Amino acid sequence: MQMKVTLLALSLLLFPALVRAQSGTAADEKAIREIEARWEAAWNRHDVAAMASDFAPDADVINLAGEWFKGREPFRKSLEELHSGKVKGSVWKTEDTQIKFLTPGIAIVHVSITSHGDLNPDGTPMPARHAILSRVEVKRGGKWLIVASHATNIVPRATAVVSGAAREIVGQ
Amino acid sequence: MRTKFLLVALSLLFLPAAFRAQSGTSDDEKAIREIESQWEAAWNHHDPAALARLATPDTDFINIRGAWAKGRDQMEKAQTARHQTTEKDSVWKTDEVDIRFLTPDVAIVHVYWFLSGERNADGSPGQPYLGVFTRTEVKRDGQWLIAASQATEVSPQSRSQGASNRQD
Repeated sequence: MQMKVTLLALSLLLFPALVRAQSGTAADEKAIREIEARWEAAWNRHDVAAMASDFAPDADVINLAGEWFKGREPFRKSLEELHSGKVKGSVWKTEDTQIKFLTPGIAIVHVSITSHGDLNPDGTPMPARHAILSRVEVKRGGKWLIVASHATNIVPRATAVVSGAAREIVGQ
Repeated sequence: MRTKFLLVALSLLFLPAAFRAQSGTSDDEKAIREIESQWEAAWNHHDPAALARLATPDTDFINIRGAWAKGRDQMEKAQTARHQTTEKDSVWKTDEVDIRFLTPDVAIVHVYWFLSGERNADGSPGQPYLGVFTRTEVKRDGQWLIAASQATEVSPQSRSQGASNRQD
């Protein structure tokens, strides 16, 4: 009995340390949420430099069209092109941000978004869309940065598998 | 001149150590590539349990339609439903696996694959397509597992710009 109590006491003592090992602090959570707030604000004022600023120089970004940008600079260039064309009137709304820490310095971040005001490649208005982003973020020199980001349109089941060409491609 | 030579020699000396710090061993690389061959085999056997075994219990799995399975059990259920219907006869072909270690125990893995033989919801044949995953994988108790995965179809436009429009 006494042994059990001791074990239990020890577990309770060690438990917070174990949990901490897998999770960031409230300040880390806040910093990660702020990345999304900055992204949203930068998107809506079409400020490409600000949008790129929270990405690591060696970030891997996969956009809604499945294009892979290896590094912040090629990604920034693609944003520049989009924001002077198809998404120049686009309005981004971050609906939800969920954070899962893999280590105190690495987090997986899922961001659900809606946007409206985007244009099709032929310039006609595109319906509002829902999309989801998976980001991998790391803390480098005390600052959280996006090292990988992957975007997917949320497509209703009935129209989903019809054809690749039917899927709209725009945005991040 | 001599200083430059010394600097180069020194860099060469430290380079392997710096590199190791950010990378897994060749065994880790092998284990991560193995996940993709097991994925391909499990898919082509239409074995959702074998697919799910490659993921962590708390995996976040977002498919090509943006549907989010939270946890291995949900993922297995979703795969079971698909492999009884739209994916019943589909054939998976892994095309390319690219690994980047964040730490010796955490890696970002990009995977390109071709899928053919898929059916639409109404049973008509779907178009074959090229897809891409970003996976985050972790080594737990010596075993690499998928902690998160998200899929996107590579648009025909991006694809037509070259087999690998990957901004190299």
